This record gives sequence, structure tokens and C-alpha cells, in this order.
Amino acid sequence: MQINVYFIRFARMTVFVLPFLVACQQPAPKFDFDQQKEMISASGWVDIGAHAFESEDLSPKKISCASCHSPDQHFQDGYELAIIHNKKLIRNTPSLLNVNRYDHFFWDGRATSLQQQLEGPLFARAEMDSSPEYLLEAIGQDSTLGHHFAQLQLSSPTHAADFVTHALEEYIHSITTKQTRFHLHQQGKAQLTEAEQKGQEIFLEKAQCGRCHAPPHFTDKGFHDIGLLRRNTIFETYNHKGRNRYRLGPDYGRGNIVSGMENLFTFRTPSLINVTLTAPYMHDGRFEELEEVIDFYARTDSVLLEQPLSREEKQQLMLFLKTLQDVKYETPSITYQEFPPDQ
Amino acid sequence: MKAKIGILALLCALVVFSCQKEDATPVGEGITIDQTEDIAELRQEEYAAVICVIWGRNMDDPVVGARLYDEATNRLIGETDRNGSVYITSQEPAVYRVVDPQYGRQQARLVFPDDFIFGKDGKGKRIIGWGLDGKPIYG
Repeated sequence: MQINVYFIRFARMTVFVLPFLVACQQPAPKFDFDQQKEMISASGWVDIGAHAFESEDLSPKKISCASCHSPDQHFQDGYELAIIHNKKLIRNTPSLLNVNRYDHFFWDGRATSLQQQLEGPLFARAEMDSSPEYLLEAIGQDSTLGHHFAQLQLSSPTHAADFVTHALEEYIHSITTKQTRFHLHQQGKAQLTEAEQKGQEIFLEKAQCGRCHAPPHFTDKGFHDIGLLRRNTIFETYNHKGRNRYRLGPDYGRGNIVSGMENLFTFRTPSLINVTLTAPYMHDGRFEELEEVIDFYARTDSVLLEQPLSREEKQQLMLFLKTLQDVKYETPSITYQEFPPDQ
Repeated sequence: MKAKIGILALLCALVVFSCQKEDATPVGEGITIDQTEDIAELRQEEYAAVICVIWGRNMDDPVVGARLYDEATNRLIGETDRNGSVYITSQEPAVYRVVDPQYGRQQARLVFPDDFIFGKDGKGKRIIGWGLDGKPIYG
């Protein structure tokens, strides 16, 4: 009789404990940040994102997003190749201005969403080297991030990663720019000079730059091999008499992401908006000046350009590219008084 | 009594384990780890060679998701599983490229069959010690 009582008690206890045990086995559900607009406004998320963007505490290496994508340098670093703690990475740091207008992210387009892109450098060993667990700890020690994290009643490492990437995403959406003289001209709010208009003609017609750098975003969001000389930049293992040896191999670009010979050595077409501000150029930063880029395309053996460009046409093209710079980045032009000719 | 408790505990354990979410970490396009294991077992019979990619000084950190391409066509052949292994089924001579899943960290170029060591069963094997700090293993 007493045995049965114990048995019933045990059964009852099991009924209560079982759901708890089952719940413990499930991973934390994905948090829907868009449902929490009453708690944190859109501008609030931008502020949190700006804070996270600058925070070096989110990385065990003590580097932040801003370490390479410096807001003072138009969200890039100005180096030929990205540098983390004196170690060069293999590609140029692209500017984050207007980055949300792409469909694929990174030079090889391996990320198909902005959130996926943000997780790349955040968790890459060669870059910030963070982890969801580390982020959870870092958020707990940061008063700003910790306050909002607690406000949303979040607690797990997965939530920490989602929280940081969501905030960064909102911030990156806020750093778009389209107030260029070209776009204002299109809206009838600004005038281009005669030379700039000729440059536009050359850009769209003679030089056919617009085939890939198509207005209004000045990118086709595609991937192309423009015939750059191959550079060996990636550590490559090869077999030498039965032993693994190392050398530098070429960067296959999108070819390392997607099958097909047509993808080998192709890289994403960068937008030309603010192009005058984001030197050096190309995926490996090989060109320091925009003039070098124009010379590269206008070279005599170029397959991209059917007719050569004169010196004057190159200058006009350059003037047109300057109209793609956001007006907020324009600095007052300085005019120098010409010296009188020698008597 | 003991038998009843035993049965109850067994039932509890059964319920808890059956409710556990299956580990479905993707390692390839639409392939889960469990499926990969099945495929790996299947390939035990038919593969011509296996490439094993391992990162780190202690050779205890298999690289998951490293891609194997046929260099001649740049065709993606497969990705390393959680053991860092990817199986080659073709016997044809070929040059293969192995690419690290992380941001251009490493890549390898292997010639089949020259760069492989073959066992008595006629199957080739190549272990890549990934990283400059990795002590290579040959086999």
C-alpha cells in the first residue's frame, strides 16, 4: 500500500519535473528585436550600434570594428591590406559607407546578409576573434550594452551575439550617403560643370564604366575578373617529397566560394560613390591613387576599353568621379594666387 | 516497488532523450552532421582517397567545412566533415584545391595520385597540417 503511495508521488513529481528537463534541452529561441520597438527605438539601436562599433572590449584581441573601419577615414583604414596587430590580412578593408546596398558582402560575396557579414570579422580568428560566450561576458561588463541587454531580458550567448549584430546592423544602415553632386544634379538641385558633364559622357559611353559601375549606386553588385596581375597572398600548403611545405598562393576570390571557372579571380564590383575618399583601390589595395586606376583601365592592351582615352579625357573622367563624393565630405577649395611671370 | 521505479525512471529517460533536439549543424549544402556520417560510412566502401585537414599545433583541431575543388573545372567536390575529412571518389588523376572556410586563411594544392600515400586496400590518404604552427603528419 505504502509502496503505491510513493509510486504515485514519484509519478506526480515526474510530471512536474519533466517539462523543465525537456525545456533545458532546447536551444534558446531566436530573439525578435523588431518586436521590441517600445523598449528601444530605431535611433536607440543606432546609438547602441555606434557604441558597439567603437568598443574594443567585444574582442579578446582588444580591437573594435572601428579599428579597421574608422569613421574618421570614411569607414576604412587607408592601408593597402587590412592590418590586425601588425599582421597583414590578405585583402583591402572596404569602406562601410553604403555597404547595406549590396546583395553580397565581402570582396568574394561569401555573406548573403548584413548580419552574416557582421558575424564574419566578429568571430574570425584572424580578426576580432570573439565568440557568443565572450560577447555575453563583455556585455555584462559594459554599462551601456549591459543596460539594454538586461532591459530586453536577454541572457544566453546566442542572444548576446544576436544583440550585438542587430545593433551593429542598425548602425551600418545609418551610415549611408547619397547627397552627392551627381545625385543632386539628377534631381535638378545642382549643376555640373561642362568638364564634369563630358566626364559623365566618357564614363557612360566611351569608356563604358557604367556597364559594371551602373548608376545610381555605381555598382552592378556582380563579380568580375578585370585582369589584374595575379598576386600570391594566401598561405598555400603543397607536397614536397611527402612533406607539407608552405608558399604563397593566389587569391581565387569568388572562385573559392562558388563552383565554376567563370568565378575564378572574380571580386565584387565596388560602388564608386565616395570613391575619391576610399583609396587605396582594388581588392588588394594595389593602386594608391584614382589616377592609377583610370590608367589601368585605359592601358593600351586593355580588353575592357575599346578606344584609348586622351589625357584630357582622363582628367574629365576624374572630375566626374569627384561629383560622386558626398557633399558633407567636401572641403572648402583653396585657390592660390598665381605668381606673376618672371620679368 | 523497485521494478516500478526502475520502469518509471526508464520511461523518464526515454522521454527526455526523445525530446532532445537533434544536432543538425550544417557542414555542407543541406547536409547535416548525421547525414555526413552516413555518407562517410557509405564512402568507406567506394572512396579512392581521403584528405584530412587538421589545424593547430597539437593536431587535435579538425577543420570543419574546408572546401575541396577540382582545380581543372573549379567544381566544388565536397566539404570536410567534423573529423576534418573529405572523401574523393574518382580514381582519375587530378589536381585538387582545399580551401579554409575562414577568410582566406589557408589553402592547399594536392595532386592525385602523386601526393597521396596508398594503403594495402588501394585507398589513398593525405593529411594536411593546416597552419604554419601545425606540425605536419604524413600518412
